[in-house]
Amino acid sequence: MQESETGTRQGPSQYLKMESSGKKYVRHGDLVLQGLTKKFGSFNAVDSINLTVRNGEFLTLLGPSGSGKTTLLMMIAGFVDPTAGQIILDGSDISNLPPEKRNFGIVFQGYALFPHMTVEENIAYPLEVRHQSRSMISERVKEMLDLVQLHGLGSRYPRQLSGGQQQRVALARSLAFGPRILLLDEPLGALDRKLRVEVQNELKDLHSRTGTTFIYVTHDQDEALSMSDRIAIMDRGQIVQLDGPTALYENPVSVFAANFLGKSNFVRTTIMDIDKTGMQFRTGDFLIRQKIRQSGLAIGNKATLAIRPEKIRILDPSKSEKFNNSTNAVIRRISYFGNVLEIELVAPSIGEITASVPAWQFQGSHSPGQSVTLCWDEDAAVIVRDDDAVGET
Amino acid sequence: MQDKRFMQEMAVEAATAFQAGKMDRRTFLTFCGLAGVATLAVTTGNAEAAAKEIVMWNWGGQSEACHAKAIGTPFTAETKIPLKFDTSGPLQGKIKEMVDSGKVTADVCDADGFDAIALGKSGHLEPIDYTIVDKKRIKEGFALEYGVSVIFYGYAFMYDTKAFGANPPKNWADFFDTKKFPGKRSLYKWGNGSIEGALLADGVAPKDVYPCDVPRALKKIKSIKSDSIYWGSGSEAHDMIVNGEVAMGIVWQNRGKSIEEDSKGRYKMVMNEAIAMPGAYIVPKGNPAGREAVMKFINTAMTVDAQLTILDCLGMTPSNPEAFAKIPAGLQPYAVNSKENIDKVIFNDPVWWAEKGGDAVNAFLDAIG
Amino acid sequence: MTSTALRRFNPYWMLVLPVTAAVALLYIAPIINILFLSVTDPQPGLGNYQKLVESDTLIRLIWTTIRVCLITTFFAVSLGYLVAYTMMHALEGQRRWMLSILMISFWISVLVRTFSWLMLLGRTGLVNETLISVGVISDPIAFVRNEVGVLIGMVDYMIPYAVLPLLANMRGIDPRIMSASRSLGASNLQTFVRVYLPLTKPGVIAASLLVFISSLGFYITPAILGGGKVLMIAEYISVQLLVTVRWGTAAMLASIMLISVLLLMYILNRFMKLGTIFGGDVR
Repeated sequence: MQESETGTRQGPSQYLKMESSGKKYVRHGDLVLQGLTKKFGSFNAVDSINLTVRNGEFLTLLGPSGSGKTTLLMMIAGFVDPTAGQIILDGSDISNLPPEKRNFGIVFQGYALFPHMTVEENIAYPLEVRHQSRSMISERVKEMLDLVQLHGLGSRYPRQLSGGQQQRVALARSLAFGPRILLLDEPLGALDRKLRVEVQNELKDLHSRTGTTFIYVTHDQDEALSMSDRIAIMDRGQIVQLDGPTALYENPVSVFAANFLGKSNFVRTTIMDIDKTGMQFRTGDFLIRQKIRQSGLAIGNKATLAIRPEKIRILDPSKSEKFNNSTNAVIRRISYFGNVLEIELVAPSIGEITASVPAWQFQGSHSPGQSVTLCWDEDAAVIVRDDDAVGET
Repeated sequence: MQDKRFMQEMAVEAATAFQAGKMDRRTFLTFCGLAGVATLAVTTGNAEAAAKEIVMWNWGGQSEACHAKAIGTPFTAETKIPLKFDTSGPLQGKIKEMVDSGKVTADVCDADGFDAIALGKSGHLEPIDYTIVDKKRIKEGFALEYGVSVIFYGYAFMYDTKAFGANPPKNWADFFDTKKFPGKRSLYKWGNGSIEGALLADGVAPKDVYPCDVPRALKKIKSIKSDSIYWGSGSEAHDMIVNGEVAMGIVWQNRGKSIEEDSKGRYKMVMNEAIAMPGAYIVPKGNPAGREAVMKFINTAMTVDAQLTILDCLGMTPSNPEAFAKIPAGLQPYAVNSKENIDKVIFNDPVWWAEKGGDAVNAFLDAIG
Repeated sequence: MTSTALRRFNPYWMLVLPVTAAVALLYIAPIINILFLSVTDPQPGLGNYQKLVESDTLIRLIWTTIRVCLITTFFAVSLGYLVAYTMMHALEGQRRWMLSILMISFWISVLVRTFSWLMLLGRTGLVNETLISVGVISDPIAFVRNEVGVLIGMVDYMIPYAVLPLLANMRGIDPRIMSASRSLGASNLQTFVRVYLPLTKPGVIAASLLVFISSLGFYITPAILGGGKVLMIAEYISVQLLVTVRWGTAAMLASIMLISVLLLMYILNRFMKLGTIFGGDVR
């Protein structure tokens, strides 16, 4: 959401501190996780997570498998008991509430529809266990069928439906009782690529129509980027970075974050100079100038720069002098992806670099072995934390 | 013959095999029993009957060694023909199947008197050749056309002296009187002995027991039904008594002797009005060793020495009148044909049992179920 | 039909042809013989089958058998359900132990188990002696040598037969379905009744049929634990075959049993592929 995107320029660590300390930021309907931890033996599946999920937002937990995202979701759902920490909703700790008392809808991986019930019965289930009136139930079921565009399929059994239709039944079922929060655990994993994009749009649509808070778990960056208001990138049980999609993409805080959300080139440098307009970096004999202002860094510090492939420009060597941050390189390989070409280059000054360029522009004009000049703008790179580098601050 | 009844039910034969560690036979028999139908195909047994040997089909257990010692040794000494055994138990149905199938592998079966009558009538047996078998060696009336009563055993009942020591039960009337003698009773589950005992208890004179008035007997048996349990094997009968499951129980008399001895007299057997059963050696039609050899074998079994050895070894009473007088004093109280008991016991009528036994057993099963 | 049969034909079947022929000869031929006997002994006709409606004894025998088998099925499947459910929700290591114990009890001979019950529950058995010595009862309770004893012995023997198909069934159920139910607001009990139980219905039916069919052939347990009072069809057939030599009756009862079992197997196969009951699904 708007404010969170703007509030993160200072970097994620400050943001998280603000979350945990500032109770005044918590509003009605916000879900607050405080120091939430799950240990399996000595392994920290979820490691002391602090997070406030804003009422009505679409928050995605994005991470590779084993990053703890599903465990975190299941703790919120009530199926996994936290080892430590609290889950707070509207001022009360719900950590010990059984799942059925939390009123959170969940869409499971594989949907977990009741195979012995029809679509209507599936959707009516949460209402029946809440002892709603018959007329209310049938009205609500119809409403939900319309919402997910499944009218006419109410008397079918799940096995008679396509994957996408089952997915929608699962959504309708978990939204039927008006849950405070909808938790979605990789709900698109079983769908083919084309359908996935379609359902992404529907989900986003559904989110804005219902106004329910969505907490969405995925390992797919495209899903995360296209739907989320905010994304929490998770790694080894911790939130590495929490921000809006644009901010996350443009300002990754670490090599991991930059790599997990999109692709990135990394250039390991030493800071040579800091002034009002930016910084100068050096790697070997190659000098790089970027308009970066970041506190806590001093001349002589090491810094890793991340540059997105689409920000790398490829030029004819003869024109290269006009640009800053330009260096000679040789094309090693060109891969065709329809809309873009991915060009792998080797630059003597900075090593391997990948560039992503529009295919229509470059198709046929370049070939492996060709000498070129590559360059990037002064606002193209960001400094990231290098998790792999030893002894770095 | 001791083990005849003992083995008559397959479950319990299985039990014996299990106790003896013969698990494969158990499996076989369990299979027969569970399938209920497969017996026809598999009862041919495992004895190889060649021309120059006698195969005796008996009930296994001790009887194998006892028969070998009592009859096999003198017979082989005399004829040079060896004796072999099939111990799978010659039930009437199995003998019939063997003869019908045309693959006769046994020469002589250790069966019951009524089997001799029934199977003789249906043409499954060789007639006994009394030019070889000496009729004088057989108790009068039990040299049958198709079988020889080599020994006798009996159905008697036992009681717990701890319960009835002061005023012990003396006859079947006492056995069936649960008011005067309270407590549970155990009976043989396939009717023999129980039917006759019930008639005697109901006031039928010993000479009028046969032909049995089955409905009358069953009425009497039903009168103690709620206090009765039923056994199918000697070991089961034994257990029911020594485990205190019953206050009185019917047993085979030879089994009763060992219970008396093992319990040091706590459980006593009542031989008065015991039902004496003629065991019969019968020869399946077309036996492999031929008639002459097997008849000689039967004649050997009737010698006084063989008879007394069987008595000593298995507790079965001699049929040869000459042997009656030679029953040792210690065995007299338990032997059916001893001077002490011969007038007190009632001799089973194999003809009646052969004709009506099947119906009687089924009616009995119906009554106790 | 023919074309699919042809397409399905696999030349490797030729390899098992001799075995198939042997089975046909050794197994199917005697069965046909039994069917034949049931309409020819003692005289040709349906006389034996007529007894089914005429003879109170046979009607009672069949009723006893069905009653005992139904009660056995009910308890064995109920208890087996508990066992299977517990196993499904135990930790992996515990489950392996439980399965081993189950399989061991599965392999212990029916005789050993029957006699064990006798020793445990008899008038002077461990249970009665203990109850008397602590003063709970003054007279021993008749646990065995009656229908209760038969049921105890049969239920005990049949539990593993119930557990295995139930386990196979429960293994196939996605645990997330139960989680989904909880998340939708259903309590544990509601989830069990409305979701888990219906989903295990095929397993329950398969287990019930399997236990019922197996119970029909019980012989040793009723004979010993029933104290002679609980006569079931298998023992009756044996008596008719071996003692009273009424082969026609025996063959008729055997045929009835055979046909009933085949019919039940057919039904069973519709609910669960027979192979999966004991097949590879059980790890």
